[in-house]
Amino acid sequence: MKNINFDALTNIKAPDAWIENALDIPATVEKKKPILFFKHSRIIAAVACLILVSVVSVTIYLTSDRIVPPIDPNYNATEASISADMTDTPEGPDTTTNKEQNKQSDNAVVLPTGPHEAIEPTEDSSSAKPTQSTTTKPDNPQTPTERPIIGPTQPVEPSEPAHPTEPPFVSPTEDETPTEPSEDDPMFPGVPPTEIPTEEPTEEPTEEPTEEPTEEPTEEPTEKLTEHPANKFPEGTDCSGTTKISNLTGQNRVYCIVTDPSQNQMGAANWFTDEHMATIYYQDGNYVYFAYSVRGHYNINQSGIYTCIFYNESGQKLFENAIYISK
Amino acid sequence: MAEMSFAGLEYEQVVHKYNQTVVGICVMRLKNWADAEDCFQNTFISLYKNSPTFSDEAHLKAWLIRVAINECNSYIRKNKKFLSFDDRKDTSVDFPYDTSDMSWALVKLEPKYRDVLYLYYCEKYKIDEIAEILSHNPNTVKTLLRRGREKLKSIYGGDGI
Repeated sequence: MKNINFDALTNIKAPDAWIENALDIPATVEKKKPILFFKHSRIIAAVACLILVSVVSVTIYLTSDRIVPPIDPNYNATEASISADMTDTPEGPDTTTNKEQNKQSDNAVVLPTGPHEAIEPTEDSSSAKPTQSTTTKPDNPQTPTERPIIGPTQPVEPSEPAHPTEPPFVSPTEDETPTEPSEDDPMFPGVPPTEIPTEEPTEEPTEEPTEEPTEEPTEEPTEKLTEHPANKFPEGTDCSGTTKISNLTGQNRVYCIVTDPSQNQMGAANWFTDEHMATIYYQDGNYVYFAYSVRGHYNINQSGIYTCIFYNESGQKLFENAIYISK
Repeated sequence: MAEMSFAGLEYEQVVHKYNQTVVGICVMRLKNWADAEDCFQNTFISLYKNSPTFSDEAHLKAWLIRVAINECNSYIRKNKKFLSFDDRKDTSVDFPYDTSDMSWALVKLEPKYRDVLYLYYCEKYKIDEIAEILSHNPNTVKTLLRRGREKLKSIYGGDGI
């Protein structure tokens, strides 16, 4: 066998210049260390892009004009649809800004459908501040002099209270009231059943308004709230309605304009008077329920369908109700 | 400059001790002094920059060989499209024809045989160690070694090694 080797390859020696250069590597690498920033340039660029995209997304989200209505635990689809149908302006969420409320107030001049002139809001309504819900300010109790938001029957005028003792609300028979909404009508969630006046409301209005009308607001409101007297209006309040608290303005007053079967407005031409003032009876969640006694205010000369339209102090239409009243 | 230690050796000691091994790998693979110098320097740059931890000097030597082979492969791959060895004859390595020194024949083998034969005969590695350095199966190394010998014999026309 031939004896071979690879000495020529094994004994190759690196030139001295190569070794010197190799020994200088540490100094060269040390100088390049400050450039570590560029070593991770891709990572830094990726992170920067992510941050930029996030900032842009958040900015777009915040600047977008979306209003997400909050989830209302007391939300009732039926009531909401009714309110939307019965009011002229769409009801926004409770979290609408003051700006939006002011816009509503500015656009709240409602022209009646009858031949009467449009009545501008009074000073109270023009200077109405954004609605402050009682639920949001529980530490702001109302003084007795103020009209309570929620309370029992308060006579429109002490000297002329709405007397249920008078032949109150006409509860017509079935033959006489073909057009009156039935008890189960979902369109009138706050309308008391005409045939089932409960015991409690029938007694209170007969006595209290005549005796101590000024004391009622101080005590009764809390009781009414806690009792949740749904579908309980005193006898004699023949026209009722409901709306969201947020729709009330100013001093949270509700006015009712009644038109007779001939579509003529009844009562004073000025809407915002005590004569047209409806009574807010109670609150249920975000909704308030109010009623108005047509017979208590006007002489009914003809039988037919009377239309009650409720307005807030800004003249914004809140609710409309048609009832049949016999002569 | 902080002194770095590699298996108990400082960087300068590593360069002085193992430069011949790295040069042999680079020259055998590239057959060109200029190209071999680049890979030589890159190998030691990798050593210094990565600063791996070695259990012993054998580990350090195996790491240097592996890195040198990778550097050569990378260099060939990068310059394959632009350079021709025929154009650089001025810097090519010429191994003299010798009846006993088969270095000239070894460099003519295919790289896969050349690496195994070099590590086995020049660096005196065992088959298992070669398998570990080249990340091959030991049986694969045996096969490459056997076929490499046959090819080498056919090149130089001898009886065998």
